[in-house]
Amino acid sequence: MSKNLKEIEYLAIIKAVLKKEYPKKISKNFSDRVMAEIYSTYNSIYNNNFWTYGLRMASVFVFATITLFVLENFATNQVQYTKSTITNDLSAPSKNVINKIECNDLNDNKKVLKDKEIIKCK
Amino acid sequence: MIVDDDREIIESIVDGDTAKYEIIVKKYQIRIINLCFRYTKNYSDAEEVAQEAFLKAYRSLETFRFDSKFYSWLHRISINCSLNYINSKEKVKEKETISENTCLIDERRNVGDRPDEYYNLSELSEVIEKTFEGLPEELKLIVKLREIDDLSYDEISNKIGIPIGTVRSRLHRAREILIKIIKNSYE
Repeated sequence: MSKNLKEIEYLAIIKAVLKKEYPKKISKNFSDRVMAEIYSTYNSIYNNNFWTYGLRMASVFVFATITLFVLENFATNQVQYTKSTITNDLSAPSKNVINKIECNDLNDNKKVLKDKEIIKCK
Repeated sequence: MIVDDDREIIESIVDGDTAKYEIIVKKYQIRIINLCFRYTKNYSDAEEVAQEAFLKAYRSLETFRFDSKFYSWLHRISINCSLNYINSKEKVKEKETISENTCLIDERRNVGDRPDEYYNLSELSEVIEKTFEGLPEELKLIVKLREIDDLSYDEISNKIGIPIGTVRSRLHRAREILIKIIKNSYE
């Protein structure tokens, strides 16, 4: 690899010289400095290896499990069921319905009372 | 989409092989530093700006879509970095008055005080150019088309009407001669 790199460096010099695109001098360790900076600061950017992938999958799984747990335990109403079956029929309220209606219509009620008094007088 | 020699390297860097970025740096460092020098007028600053450009390119490598050649993309990044450098330097100049001390600092930061720390390209270019001129015509033409005109092997093959294999072998021979010259100068 290092032999190849040296050759690439020499080829770059040849190309730059023939294209007349070169400064008077450049540091021999320029690429080392760039790579050192990359390793120290940005190494993790494109680190898509197996462990990173595994870690991502694990975090997705954990997040999904936690979400399911939360939805299951806190988001729904807690319904308590009886152990026995309820058999009683629900009865409609029938008592006092008529009275209630009579009371509601005060004018009608007064009319009825008046009619009763007239009958008594007769 | 443009066919780029660097495509394979870039894809493996994005896949996590960071070490391969050194190939990119070594391949383009001289031309990028030279470009930055045109703006900074100072070798040390040119290297600093070029370093920033290479780091910026590395950070954004995933967004490179091969719509252009990689070098063109890197070239644009380097120009932006150089312009940022000029702007920041102008701002500093507005705030500070130039003193004797700052001049001394600039002197001290010049690239490569020791000859073994840098490539003296002005010396080296004379030797390379002389060697290139002395190459047999058929090798010289291939080198010119490949290194100066940036043609692909296919394009060279079509242009001169020789098989790709011959293009490769001639280029290999020419490169070996030129590399030997550099090796003799530095090793």
